[in-house]
Amino acid sequence: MNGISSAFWDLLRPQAALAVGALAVLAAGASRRVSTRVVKWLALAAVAVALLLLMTVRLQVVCLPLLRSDLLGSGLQAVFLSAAIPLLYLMEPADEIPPALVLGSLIGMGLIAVSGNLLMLFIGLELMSVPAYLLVARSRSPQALEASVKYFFAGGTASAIYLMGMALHFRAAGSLVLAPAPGPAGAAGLALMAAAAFFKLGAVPMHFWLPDVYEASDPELAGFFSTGLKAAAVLFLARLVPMAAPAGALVPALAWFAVLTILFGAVVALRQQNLQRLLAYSSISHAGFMMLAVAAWAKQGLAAPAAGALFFYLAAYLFMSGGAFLWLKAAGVRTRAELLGLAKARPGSAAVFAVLLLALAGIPPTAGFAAKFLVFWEAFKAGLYVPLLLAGLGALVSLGYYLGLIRDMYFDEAGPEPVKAVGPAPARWFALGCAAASVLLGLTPWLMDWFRPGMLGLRP
Amino acid sequence: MTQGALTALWLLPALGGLAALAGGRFSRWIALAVSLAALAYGVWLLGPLRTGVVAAAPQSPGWAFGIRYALFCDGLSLSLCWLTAFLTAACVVASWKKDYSAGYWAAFLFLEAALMGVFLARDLFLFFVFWESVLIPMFFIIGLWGMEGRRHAAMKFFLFTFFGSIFLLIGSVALVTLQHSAIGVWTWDLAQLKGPEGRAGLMIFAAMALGFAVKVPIVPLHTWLPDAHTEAPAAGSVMLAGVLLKMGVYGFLRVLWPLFPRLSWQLLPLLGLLAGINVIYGAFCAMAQKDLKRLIAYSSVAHMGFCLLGIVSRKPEGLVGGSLQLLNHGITTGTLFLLVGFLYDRGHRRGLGDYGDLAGRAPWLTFFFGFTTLASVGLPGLNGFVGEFMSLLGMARAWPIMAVVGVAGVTLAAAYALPAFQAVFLGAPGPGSVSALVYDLDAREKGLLWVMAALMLAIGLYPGPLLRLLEPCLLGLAQ
Repeated sequence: MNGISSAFWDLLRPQAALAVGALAVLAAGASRRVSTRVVKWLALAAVAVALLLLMTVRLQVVCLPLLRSDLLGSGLQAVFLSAAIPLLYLMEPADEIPPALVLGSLIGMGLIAVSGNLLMLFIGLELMSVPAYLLVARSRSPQALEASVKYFFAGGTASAIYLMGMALHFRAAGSLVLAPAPGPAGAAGLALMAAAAFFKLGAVPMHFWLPDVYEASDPELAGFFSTGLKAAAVLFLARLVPMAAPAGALVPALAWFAVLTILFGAVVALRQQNLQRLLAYSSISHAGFMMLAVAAWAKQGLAAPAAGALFFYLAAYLFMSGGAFLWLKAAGVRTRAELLGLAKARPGSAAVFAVLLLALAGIPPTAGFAAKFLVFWEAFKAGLYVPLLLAGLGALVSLGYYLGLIRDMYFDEAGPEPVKAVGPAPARWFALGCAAASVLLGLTPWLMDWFRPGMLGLRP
Repeated sequence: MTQGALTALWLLPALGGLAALAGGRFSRWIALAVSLAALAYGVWLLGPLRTGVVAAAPQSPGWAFGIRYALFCDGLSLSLCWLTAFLTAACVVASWKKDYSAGYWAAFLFLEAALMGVFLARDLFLFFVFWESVLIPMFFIIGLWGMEGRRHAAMKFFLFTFFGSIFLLIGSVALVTLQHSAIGVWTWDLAQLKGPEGRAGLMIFAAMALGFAVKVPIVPLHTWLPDAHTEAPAAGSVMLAGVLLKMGVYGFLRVLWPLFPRLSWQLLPLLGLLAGINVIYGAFCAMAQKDLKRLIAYSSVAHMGFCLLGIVSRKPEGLVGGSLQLLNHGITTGTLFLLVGFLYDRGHRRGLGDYGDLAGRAPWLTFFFGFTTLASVGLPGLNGFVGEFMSLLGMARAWPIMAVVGVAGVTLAAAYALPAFQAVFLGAPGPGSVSALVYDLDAREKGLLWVMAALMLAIGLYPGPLLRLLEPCLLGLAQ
């Protein structure tokens, strides 16, 4: 086995830590004497160790037969792992299964991040998705089972499409490495695989499962889906893009689907009454911006700085969207009607949500603005002028509901359905932290630079 | 004048805003102290500016793509900062008796900080960040403390400006990227940027001009203005008309003219025509209004048209006159909105037909309203005349026909302002009049208005110092 270099195991270290953690969680759960509280902390420890191990992975492009590592992959792994922390901390599991499922899903995402082979990508995808279906099913909402089944069938379809694409690709190229395949079969294979990525990302027109799933999930789980899972799906798409032959062939299609996704998500979100559903459509719109960033990145020959914009967007989005879902958990609010006049009853809580909404809307000086700005910038450099303009209009439309929510909270008197419940205190602290981070990151975008020198490639 | 000295000018109100937010019942005192301190500090900065110590090119490292934190200051920036600080202080005094929460006073200080940032920014990116930050406090001022239609007006205000800002941002990105591909250096420094020639230049100019035009506002992008001004609380209208509209013209002067000296001169027919339309259209709309606040709001559209006529002409007198008119309009229209606010506090109506014969009941209110109306329509000896006259003089040299249109606009101004004054203060009260509720101004209100009136008279009789302050930074733009 010396043929498989030590670099191979190096790259898998975080995933190994997660796997050990998952086994420990299951073993601890099997024992009657261990409380679910301990189980939760075990899972959190596994994530923390994985994050530490991720730091030790050397920041260079490594290509092995099955695995590869690069800056974007390592950076997004940090996003996945961070996204899981509030989920693990806030979930109130009846037994050891949900924490173990979260860890399992994280292993899958980690594999997507380091996979250098279509088969490995598939394994990562399945390992990520299957626990996600089960987590939805175990949510408290009455529609949880229905949503889970819908999610499962949509996900199953995506997997089938992906496998079909992979088979076509194999027929054309004779291998499963991430490289272009010749001929129409290769092109068809890539198109099918990209369609599967659209499914996972919730890109229009493969988005139909997403609002139901986000609405039925517990808020902290929906927050994880909208940040961690979305980041993994973006990475999945980013891994497929270089396989186009000729290079950049996917760019126009990607850019137009991105615009469609941005506009569709923004317009439909305007009419939503359920807040989780509204944020779900908003996450569809944001996914469109990420697709635009991927398109710009591909158009510029996969240059590192352009990937920096994508990474920054996802990192900022982690705080903005994750924070918004966690705020829903903290405030115990479910519908727009319950928001009416909230600022009078709970000024601090309303202020936190207002900051998160302004960040999601992309108003300076928040991280949301810096993120959108970087994407616009890269799109302009890539010459995607018309998609860029339409994306800007999408941002304008989305302002209609982000500002609308602030208006509901601040400018209206309390409605007929004032909020009764208040969520757990830790959720409040997480939401506050996310709001603070989404402002600080906007004021000082170079904070990201300190974490991993050169990650952003922003410095001229 | 170092970067630090200029940073203090916007940081002071920003920190003051935080203090006011936490200040509870002392918020209004904090707001008053901070806004007066900012005004005093701004006036003190005139000394360093006079001695010619203008901020040198900043050496601070930027964070990415040449974006830097860089401020600078000349006569135009400084005088607009004075206007901002002065009107903020006036707003605080004017709403002193109101039972508003800490957020109200903090919002005005945050607004002041963001506006100062706009007028001081030397880096285009920084300019944009401040430009957008202005929206947040103003959104809350309109939406939380405004009139009946405030919810709708606040959204409309934000969405319209954001629409323009998207084009401004895309135009800026295009400008900087094209400059980078031309000379190989990333920079957002307004002193180093040069607009490209040809079609790309035209498109960038159009995109950025659209962003500024929404703010001015140039007809037909003005439809947010009457709603926002009418529904905002009195002090909010003062800031909107007094300072926020100036941002647009300032953008033309500070960003577009230096970036595109040739192109903006070639576009004189188009820009001049738009300015002329503003003057005439605003005046006719004002004539048709039955609501006093709405009438003044439309008169702002006409007045901003005069500013545009001046700066578009690109003659020295036009540029200086247009800039002076920015300050004049800030003071006079700000005062008019304050007066309408005082009137509304008493009668709780704004309609022209709701009052009548106030001259006998409230002589001071009548005096100040009349005085300010005369300043607003450009009576010689008061401030409005100087700015309008110089603007028209500039236009007469560049494109005489538009100057004639402008003169017609001056006449129209008298035709909408004086009948309104007559209806409210001199005419017989109609049925359902609430004139009986109106009592005269108290000492605080009178004191504030005396200061305003003194400024109008002073600028009208002796505009020399202000003109000399504005001249050096504008002559370079003359054609």
